[in-house]
Amino acid sequence: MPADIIINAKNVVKTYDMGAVKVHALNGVDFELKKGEFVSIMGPSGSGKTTLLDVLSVLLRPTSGEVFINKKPISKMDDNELAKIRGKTIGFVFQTFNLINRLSAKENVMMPLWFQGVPKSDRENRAEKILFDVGLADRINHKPSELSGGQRQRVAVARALAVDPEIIVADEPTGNLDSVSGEQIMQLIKDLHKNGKTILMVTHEEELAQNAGRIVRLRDGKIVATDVVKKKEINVY
Amino acid sequence: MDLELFSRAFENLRRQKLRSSLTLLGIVIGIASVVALISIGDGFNKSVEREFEKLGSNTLIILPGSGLATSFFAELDEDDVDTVKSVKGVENATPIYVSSQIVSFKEEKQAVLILGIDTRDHALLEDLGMLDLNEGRLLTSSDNFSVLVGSRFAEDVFEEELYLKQNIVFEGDSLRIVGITKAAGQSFGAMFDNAIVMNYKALEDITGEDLTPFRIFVKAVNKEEVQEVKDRISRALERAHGREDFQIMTASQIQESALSILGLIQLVLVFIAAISLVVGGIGILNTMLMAVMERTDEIGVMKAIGATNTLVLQLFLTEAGLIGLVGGFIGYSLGFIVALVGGVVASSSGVDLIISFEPMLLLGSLGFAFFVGMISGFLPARRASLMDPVEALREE
Repeated sequence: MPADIIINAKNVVKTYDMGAVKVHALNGVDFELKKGEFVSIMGPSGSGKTTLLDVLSVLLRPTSGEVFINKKPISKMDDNELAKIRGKTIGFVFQTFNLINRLSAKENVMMPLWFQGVPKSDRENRAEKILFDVGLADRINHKPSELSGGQRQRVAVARALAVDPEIIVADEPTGNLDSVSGEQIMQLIKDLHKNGKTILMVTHEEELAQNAGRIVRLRDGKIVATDVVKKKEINVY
Repeated sequence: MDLELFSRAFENLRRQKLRSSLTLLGIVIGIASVVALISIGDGFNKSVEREFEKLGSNTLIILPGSGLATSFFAELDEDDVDTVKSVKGVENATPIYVSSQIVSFKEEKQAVLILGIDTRDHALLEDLGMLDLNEGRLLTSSDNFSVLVGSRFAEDVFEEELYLKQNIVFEGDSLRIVGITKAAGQSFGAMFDNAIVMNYKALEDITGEDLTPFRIFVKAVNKEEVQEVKDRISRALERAHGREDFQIMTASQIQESALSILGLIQLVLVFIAAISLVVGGIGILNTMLMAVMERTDEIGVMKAIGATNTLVLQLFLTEAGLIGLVGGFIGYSLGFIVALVGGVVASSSGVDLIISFEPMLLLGSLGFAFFVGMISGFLPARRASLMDPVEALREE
């Protein structure tokens, strides 16, 4: 296994037991994510793309097969260890933002740093700086309910960046946004990739998927195609 | 423990002020009643102990009857006092006679207790703290129509307060008050507080009754020898009576039995109060279960972004523990205030109650309340910690 592979999935199967029926969400998936890559996962609804994202980001254990994070097999780790890996290595951006509504933007961004044991004053400084970087300097003490959708997603991106993770995992990051906000978030993600972050993104929009270097196409829990996107710099602005 | 957990947990509770305070209430009531009962019980214990200290550990008390069956018929008599006095190791002995009578003062009639004492042995009763004069003088052997009254008797028995040199009418005779005694303790002292005290010979003369000693108080020469003196008195009286139809108790025996009864009553009351703590605990359980359900998505997010199961468990446990701790503190304060008020009320009605601040009770209340909170919070916290992050996140 080459040194620069961060996530490696081998013959991953995920089966959901729905009483009488067994649903095979993933049906033998092999996948590699190299450091610095930008990969889009595409597929119709029910193709298993979100399940794959959950498994690759160690939120979910596969029914069989193995996932290696930085060469370490996750089947050997307990839930606490997986949580630590997520906290340190992976930054999540969800379609529905999933901010904690009771907390201000700054407190939301500070939270993952708490889990990493960063002292409070450092957490505050870091959260303020990142919120400034994503263009929310004047919104740091606002609650999510006081922010627009685009602003909320930017807080979520800031939260994902707080611990400076190797990988950003984004599940339909623009799915709940209007087109302008969506483009801004997409631009933010592209910038992160330019600055060296590894990006793994689920989307069902072909146009967004084209931002990646590689598109993995899923159908019925299997990878049916992998496209390498040709670099063509189109700058909207 | 991580201080951050405490501030985070406190924040979470603060955001649900009404619910948190209602949950607190259960613990507050439980801890307050336990603290109040323990404080008041301890107050009783202390005042009993203090009284027996006054009585002295070289005091013995002889009472008629060796058990339930004989106590109605058994009698002590005047000769017994002399018998006891002649026992080796006895410094002095004095009988007390009791008679329940009707007396009147300015047209008002009351049923009262008259205690007959042997005026020769004032000193012994004074030693025992029963005849401390507030004003006036003690009785002499020639005082046939002069009496002492207890301070509480003087204040409470008749509509009008009694003063020195006033007369009480008893069986047609006027009894002149020559002394008023100080308020004493609870058991024996209280008897003197609430009675008329007079020369027992005069009491017999006026009533025409042939009184027998109700109690004989004995003072041993030294306290190390009390047990031996007790055995000797017992043998001497048994010889005189032909059977053991009397009981001899040392002051410490009486104290022990009084304290053990008090202790039992207190235990039962505290147990009942503790039931309300269980109810308080169930309140915490309920609140925390609700909080876990409401915050499912939050728990999912926390876990996704790196919170370990252990941390989630600790966070919810700390929240539950904090409810307990805060409830414990408020409950302790409230309970202590109730005990203080109880002490004041008791004192004003003649029962000496010493309420004092006990650091151990404070610490115990806080610790126990925190513990109740944690125990009640365990199930909800465990449920939160074992939540599957994917399922928790997808739940809307």
